[in-house]
Amino acid sequence: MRVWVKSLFLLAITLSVVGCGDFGLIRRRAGPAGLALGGYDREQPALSGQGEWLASVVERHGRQTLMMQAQPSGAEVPLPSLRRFAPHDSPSLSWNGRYLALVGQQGGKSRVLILDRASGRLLPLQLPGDLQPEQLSLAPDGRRLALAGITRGRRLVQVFDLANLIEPDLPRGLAIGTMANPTVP
Amino acid sequence: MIKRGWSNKGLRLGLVAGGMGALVNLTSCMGSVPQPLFPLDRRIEELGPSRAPSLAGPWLALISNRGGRDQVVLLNVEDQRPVPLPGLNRPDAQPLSVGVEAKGERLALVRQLEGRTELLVYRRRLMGSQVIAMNPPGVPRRVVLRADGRELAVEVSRDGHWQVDLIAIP
Repeated sequence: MRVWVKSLFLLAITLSVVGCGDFGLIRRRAGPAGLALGGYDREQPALSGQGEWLASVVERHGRQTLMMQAQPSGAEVPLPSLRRFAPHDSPSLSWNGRYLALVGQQGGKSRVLILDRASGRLLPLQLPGDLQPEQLSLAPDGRRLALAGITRGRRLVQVFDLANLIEPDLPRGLAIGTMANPTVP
Repeated sequence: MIKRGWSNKGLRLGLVAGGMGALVNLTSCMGSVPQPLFPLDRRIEELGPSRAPSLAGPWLALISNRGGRDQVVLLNVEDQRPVPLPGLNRPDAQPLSVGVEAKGERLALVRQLEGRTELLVYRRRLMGSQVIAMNPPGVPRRVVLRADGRELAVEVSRDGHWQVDLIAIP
């Protein structure tokens, strides 16, 4: 009985600490954004599945431009194939940062793009219907894509299957065929 | 006559090949067509106007508006069923951004409550949230949770600029 009471007491203390503050959190500012950006703003972060890559949107030459950085070094990886689709919005990364999905612009229209960083192939998606994409989320394994946007004046989210368009990007050490409920290493 | 027949056939073949080539070119210019997941999309539509999606593993988290009130919804993509999130959706709170990890155990949320904007991490098993203070002080807006759930990235307004903070989650 005493052990019970003691356990409950310890649990109450633990919960009160966890519930009230941010004890134990490690914080850091995202790696340096560089001095040649003409500003300090950095928006719309996206992290790869295990945090090796950070994508964010910064202002360059007066346009919202996607910046891809290794973490924690902050070393930037150039993305020349995306330049003609600026301004960029809403990046999302797969597990190992192989795929980078984003909303770009082409001819005054919003376009959903997926860049395969392993092959350099850029895949513009042709969306069915008249959805104007604003925000997206790529499933970490690259199998699905969720898009938020406006169609006929209504806000909605649609999910698309990418299985026939790109191959999966699995967490390290996970074999193909075991992805229904991935166990994170 | 034979010669004329051959030439007609050749012309027809040329037209078909040319048409197919034009179609291939047009398709590659327009882009690849992803397949919509109709049962899931129908389920999302039933929830009301939706925004701010976050996909990870079999989970889709989003903010939907039902009866004029925004709320966080967590759906299992495989069976299209919403999962209960007890204690997360308060009637006096306005969710702004949500992220989910691949296991679906933790969600990161930015919400407005009693005139302030706060960042929190919700744990389904504990049915409770941990508010994460901005340090140095700032106003959070958009949050994403790493797929392995061990870190979040949040967009923070500080001194008139937008910055990105990375916060490890124990």
